[in-house]
Amino acid sequence: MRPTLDQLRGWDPASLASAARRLAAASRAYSDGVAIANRLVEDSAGYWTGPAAAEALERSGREFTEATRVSAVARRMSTSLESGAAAIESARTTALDVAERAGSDLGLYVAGDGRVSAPRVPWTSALVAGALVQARLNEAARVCQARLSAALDTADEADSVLARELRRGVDELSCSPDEAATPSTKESTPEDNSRYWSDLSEGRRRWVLAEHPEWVGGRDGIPAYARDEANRAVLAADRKRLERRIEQLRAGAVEFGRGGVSGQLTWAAVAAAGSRLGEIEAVERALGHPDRQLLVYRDAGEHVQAAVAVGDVDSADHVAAYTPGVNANVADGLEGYTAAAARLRDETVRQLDAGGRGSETVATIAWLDYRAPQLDLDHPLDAATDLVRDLGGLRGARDGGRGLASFLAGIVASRTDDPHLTVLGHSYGSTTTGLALQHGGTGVDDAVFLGSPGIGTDRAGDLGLPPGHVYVAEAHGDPVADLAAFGPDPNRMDGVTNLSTSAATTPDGRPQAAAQGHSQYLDDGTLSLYNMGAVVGGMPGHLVEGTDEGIADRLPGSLLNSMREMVFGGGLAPSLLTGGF
Amino acid sequence: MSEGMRVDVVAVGALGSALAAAADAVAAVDPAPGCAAAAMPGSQTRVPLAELPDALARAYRATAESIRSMSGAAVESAARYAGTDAATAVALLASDGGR
Repeated sequence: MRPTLDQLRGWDPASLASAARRLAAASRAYSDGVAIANRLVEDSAGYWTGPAAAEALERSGREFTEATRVSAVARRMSTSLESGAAAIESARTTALDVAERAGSDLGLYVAGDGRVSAPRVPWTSALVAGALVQARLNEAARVCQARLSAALDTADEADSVLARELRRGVDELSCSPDEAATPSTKESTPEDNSRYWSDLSEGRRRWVLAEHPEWVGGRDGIPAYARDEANRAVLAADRKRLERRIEQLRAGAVEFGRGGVSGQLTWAAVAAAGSRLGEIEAVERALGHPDRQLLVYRDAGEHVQAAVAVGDVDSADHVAAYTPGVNANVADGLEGYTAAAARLRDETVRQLDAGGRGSETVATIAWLDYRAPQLDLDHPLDAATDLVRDLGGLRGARDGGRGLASFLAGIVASRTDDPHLTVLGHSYGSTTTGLALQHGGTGVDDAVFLGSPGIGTDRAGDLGLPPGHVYVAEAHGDPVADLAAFGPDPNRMDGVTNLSTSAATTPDGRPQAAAQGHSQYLDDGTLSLYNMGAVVGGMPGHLVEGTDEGIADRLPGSLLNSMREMVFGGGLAPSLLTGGF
Repeated sequence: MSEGMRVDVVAVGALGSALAAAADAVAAVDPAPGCAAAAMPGSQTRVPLAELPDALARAYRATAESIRSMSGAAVESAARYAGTDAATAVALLASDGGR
């Protein structure tokens, strides 16, 4: 509410400035005290090692993190008080000056709420002169009232801003572990998770992110910015813990030597920890640009799973998630798949710009939050076993499909608007994507299957997308796209649109190269990438349609079909395609 | 026994004492912008400004208590390490038949 002049006269902004300085000094003293304690514990590594010492270090780290948060709030309060004091002082001085001049110098009446009026000129005055004087007084009153009103509004605004900032600080400081938010349960849906986050105050959100990032980093339905911050915190903590573990193990290994069971076990543990550190470094490399968001970072036991976005998933008009296939893993592939997602985003933005829709924004995601079969081609026997066990059993695609469906639903649930959402799956990832869509409720608008060995159904209608929104691309010389291992070859299904992958000139006059084989669908300068961009940007008019049928499309009795029969039998039983969803 | 365990009992005890001093220093910090609330009668700022010192003091106290509890744990650990050492010496002596 706008202050009155009497209230303004009672305000003492200089006291606020003075309080800001005292607060800053107190905050420094607090930070110094905590830093001393933290350093004491860190220095204890010189004379105290082992589990208890590690726990002490961990605990001190947590306390230091919390103290850093408190200190940051205190510093922000100090800055707010200082700038608020200056803003209030300026508006207050102006308002009181105007009121003073209006009353004392001009003889106007100034009410407490800022209304200014002119005295009435006595009727006995000469008629014309009296009217002129009255008019000038009225005009002066109007001008003074306008200036006074503006100054009071400014004071009110400064007071309001400062009050809001202080309330926010008090709220954040009041979030102690005793009264903290509790995590949503593991069984909660993306909608539940979204509600959980919406219901938290800003202070409690900050507390959760600082104290329990593991609660929200992996929860579908939480906004991307929060998942990103939480997952990065967990990633950094994991790195620190692993480095410490490796250091401890190395010390033990040196003591045990390389011989004997203890030595061998210790060195094996060093190697395992080093391998996990390699996965963490792969995630860090994928995040090596400022436009990246770490939407998933999950310790899946023997390996890490992750999803990295290029662009802002919380606000993009167009969001696309790309799922790779066999042999995709974080250590060897996340950086490359994220780079592919970046190329797809660039191409989509380029087409939107060219089409006069440059204000629309795009985010693309490399989704590796599942375990695709890992086939070691240096060991063909193991590879064949894995092929039958993993591919034939669809285990990875089933589990991944369930996770991908939840992830996609989470994107929609975390936003108040309805972004244009596209899924793209390559190879075995297309099977995973097809199975995800059959769960329903994903909010997906368009789907693209690249080099697909089958999408887990023989009917495009099972994917739950409107006619004309299911696309298939098959490159020349891609044998996997003709395997039909997990359902019929999708490029021959009713209701799908075949996208050309040949060399061609696009409708906007750009010559594009052909994609060859199984792994060039998202290569720069290919018609395939161009078509993906058109789908992701919701520009069906840009598409170049066509098929590049493989040998199995034309020769049903080919060697490829015989191989398929040998590996997968007569195809998948209907129960495998539809059961268990 | 974990790999690489090493304890300087005296130093761990000293760590406990030093942490206690750090906890005292943190507990002694006075946020104190409270009197400024009185300088803004009738303003929107007045109420949150009056609440700020308490909120800060609670947060500072919580930190001080945490440091104090770490201090207690260090002192207790040092005593237990020393106690275990002494008990082991006694046990060894006893198993030697008092010779």
